[in-house]
Amino acid sequence: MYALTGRVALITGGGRGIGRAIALRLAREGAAVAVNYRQGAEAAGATVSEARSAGVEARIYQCDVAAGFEAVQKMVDQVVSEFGGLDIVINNAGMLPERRTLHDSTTEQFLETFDNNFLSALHVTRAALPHLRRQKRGHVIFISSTTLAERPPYRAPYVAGKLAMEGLASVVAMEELPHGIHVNVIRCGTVATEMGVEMLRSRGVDDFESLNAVAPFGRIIHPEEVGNLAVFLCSDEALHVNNTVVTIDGGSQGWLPPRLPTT
Amino acid sequence: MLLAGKVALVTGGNRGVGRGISLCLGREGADIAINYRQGADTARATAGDVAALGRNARSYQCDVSSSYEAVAVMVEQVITDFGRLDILVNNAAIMSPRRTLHDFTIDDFLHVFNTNFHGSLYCTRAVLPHFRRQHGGHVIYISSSTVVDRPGNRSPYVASKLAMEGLASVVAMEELSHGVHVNVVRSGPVETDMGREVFSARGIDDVKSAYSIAPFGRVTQPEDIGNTVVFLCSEWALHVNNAVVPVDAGGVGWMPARKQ
Repeated sequence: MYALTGRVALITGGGRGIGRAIALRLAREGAAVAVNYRQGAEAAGATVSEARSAGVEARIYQCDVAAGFEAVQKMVDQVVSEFGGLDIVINNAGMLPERRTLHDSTTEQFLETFDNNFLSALHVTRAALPHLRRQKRGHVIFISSTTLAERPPYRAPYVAGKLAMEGLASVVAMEELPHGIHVNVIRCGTVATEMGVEMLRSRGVDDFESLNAVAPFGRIIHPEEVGNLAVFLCSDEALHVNNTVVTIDGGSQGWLPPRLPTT
Repeated sequence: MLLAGKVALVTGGNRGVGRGISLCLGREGADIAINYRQGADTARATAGDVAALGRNARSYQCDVSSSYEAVAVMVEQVITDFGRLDILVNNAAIMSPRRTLHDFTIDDFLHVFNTNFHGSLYCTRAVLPHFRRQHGGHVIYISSSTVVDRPGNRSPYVASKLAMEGLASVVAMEELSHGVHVNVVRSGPVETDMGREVFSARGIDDVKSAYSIAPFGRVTQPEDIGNTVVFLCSEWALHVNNAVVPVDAGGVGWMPARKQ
């Protein structure tokens, strides 16, 4: 089940958190992994050495994927030439802004985070499509967030960026239908990563392990679970799972303590 | 194997999508209770195929929409026979005649609606006490992409599937503290007897001929639904809960329009 032997995957923001877990899960099923990172060469290098110990080819690629299309295209082309192809793109890179209302943000501040969450996915997807079309097969996965459905105040550029991404995904899925390319969205609840810890701090939770007692199914969501879902969506077993939004939030985030007002 | 030692009850598990689900669950190690209404021969054949995978398989005749009492008796029998129950797949359904509401009698409408909705209601209600007691279990509802396609005709079918999805979303929240997973698989048209009628309504009489225009090289198979059910019931999907997962290859946009 779920074998990904011989496939090549590019994971943006693959050095840390959810991206790292996805890279390692894909690697464990036999996929070669190109780990993109913006900052933190050390963490990206650690992801790559761990992926290699699973017996697959793995390399790091430094690139701010939100900065400009040309740089992204260069990176994607380099991945294709070094790995001999590209089958799976995981649009994971994102950024959590400070907790601020739109009223209290400058448009520059807004757009910095928005671009980081949206343009990154746009550039990488656009750059990968010609390669995926040539192979008449491929997977593009967008990592989104359940905050879209929760509609909290604050952090509008994050929510708007993720929704723009889901809109992009749904249209591209239909456009690429004749080209054999799968496009799916994974909508994550709060996951046990650095970013997740930051989100929990805004709910007054400092020790996230303390939530395991009240979380559905006995623990908060681990990044490996997002990796499991990505593996499934890229597998032959999910051939007809396409243009979907699959939520991974334990069923609800309603059990979490309420968000604190900003001071 | 992802489901070794688990026991699954699949309603309408003898034919079509239900048979595919039974076989996929069986392949991953689950023992299968195959519910059927009619067609003892197909139930026997599916049970035989599951047994050939090395699993325990039994068939249970019961019209799950007929009464809660009959369903409760069946569920208790399954638990007695297998010693446990971990997975309920609410799959049994009938297709509606292709007719507008204007042309339905209330009785004809309710026949389709009740068969589809009451069956999943009764089965869910019957397994809940057991799932709560063991603090775990999976309830899967097989819904249909027609709930988003919004076709004309067949309103009792569409209404029954949406009622089922509504039930699922509430029960998921109610059972959160009891360790019970509740998920919906929203299936597109599948190459089965029921699916053939759906394809035919779109002018596709030979389903194989549609392979060349279908996304990813073929029409959706019962195993595609079964594989997704397997994933949702596995440890891999621990926090995938209260989700609706479409299995329709991206939608029915590639198919010819429905005939008027």
